[in-house]
Amino acid sequence: MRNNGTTLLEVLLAVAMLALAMIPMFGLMSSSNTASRVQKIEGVAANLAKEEMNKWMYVFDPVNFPNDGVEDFVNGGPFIVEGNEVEIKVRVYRHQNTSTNVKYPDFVWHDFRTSCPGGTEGNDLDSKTNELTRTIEEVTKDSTKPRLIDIAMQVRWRTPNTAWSDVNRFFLLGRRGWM
Amino acid sequence: MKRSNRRGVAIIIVLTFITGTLAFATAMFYFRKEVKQQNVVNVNFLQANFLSQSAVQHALVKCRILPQEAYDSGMALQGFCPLQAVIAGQTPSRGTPSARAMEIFIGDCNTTAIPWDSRIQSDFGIDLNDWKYQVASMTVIAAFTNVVDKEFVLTSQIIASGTVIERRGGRGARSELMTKTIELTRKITID
Repeated sequence: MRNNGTTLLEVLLAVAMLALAMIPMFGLMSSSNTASRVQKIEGVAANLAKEEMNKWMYVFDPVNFPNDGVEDFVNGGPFIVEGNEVEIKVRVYRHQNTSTNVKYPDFVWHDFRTSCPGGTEGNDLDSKTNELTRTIEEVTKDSTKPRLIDIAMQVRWRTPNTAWSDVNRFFLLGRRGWM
Repeated sequence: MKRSNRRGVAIIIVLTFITGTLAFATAMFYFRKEVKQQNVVNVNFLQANFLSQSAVQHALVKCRILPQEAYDSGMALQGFCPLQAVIAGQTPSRGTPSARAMEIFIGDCNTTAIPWDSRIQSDFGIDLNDWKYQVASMTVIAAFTNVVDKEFVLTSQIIASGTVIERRGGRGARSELMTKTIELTRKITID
């Protein structure tokens, strides 16, 4: 009858093996839980950033943009999502019409009545096309409405009770045309 | 004396359990890694996509401030004379197409000709050489005369690309293309 079931030694060995295997497993589960939370908020941050950048690119009136290079916090501060924080910081930079050049083609005059009947080009236009460069102000006669505006955005996130880290951030860059 | 066949069963149960848990932990680890990669890919896509949108915006601004030149470049691309209007209702034959005007027109719609504001680099600590866009082409996909409104209509397609190198995740360059179709018209008045 003494040989029935498991021996004490066998049980002790099994418990020791279980303990040895479970210690790193618990550590892995714990770090996995933290990482999952960070990854989840990273995904939320990407969605928020996309939404905000779309607003700055297409919705907001550039008249209301902050001054050049001035830091503007979207939402007035971090977004709080399930206790996690997402902070979106935007700066805009205007390209002045007086110093920003545009290039455009200038066609050499040719007598189209004789050489281009009905609108069909009868010449080699490549040799009759020159390149001109002017400032936007010269072209539009407007120095007050900057036509090109750079928008830079920094997005960062953190879980509760952790510090802001350069690892948990990304940037978006866009250029808006002011039509 | 009869020996029990349950001898050593505890170790077998424990080993089975540990193997199962290890498999679960490994699967969890790889799933987590994949989610992490997916996040980086999503952000990378956003960055390149907004750059290509910027290129389209740049081209649209040029069409807005230089509408005649945009139209004429399209006409030249079709082999029509930019100095005179095609009369509405007529179907003129095309001459030799010239791409030079359009090349000039879109030639500065990129971050090389008009670079990002240099303050971005110092304010955000990013390398602006990693962020590029350009208008790859602007082609005419349709040209016709609208007899009723007495206008010549060009339908033009802008193809723009944005490329970013995101240092986070070390995934290298990511490019995105964007296509925008616009309509350019020229009114014709005949005395």
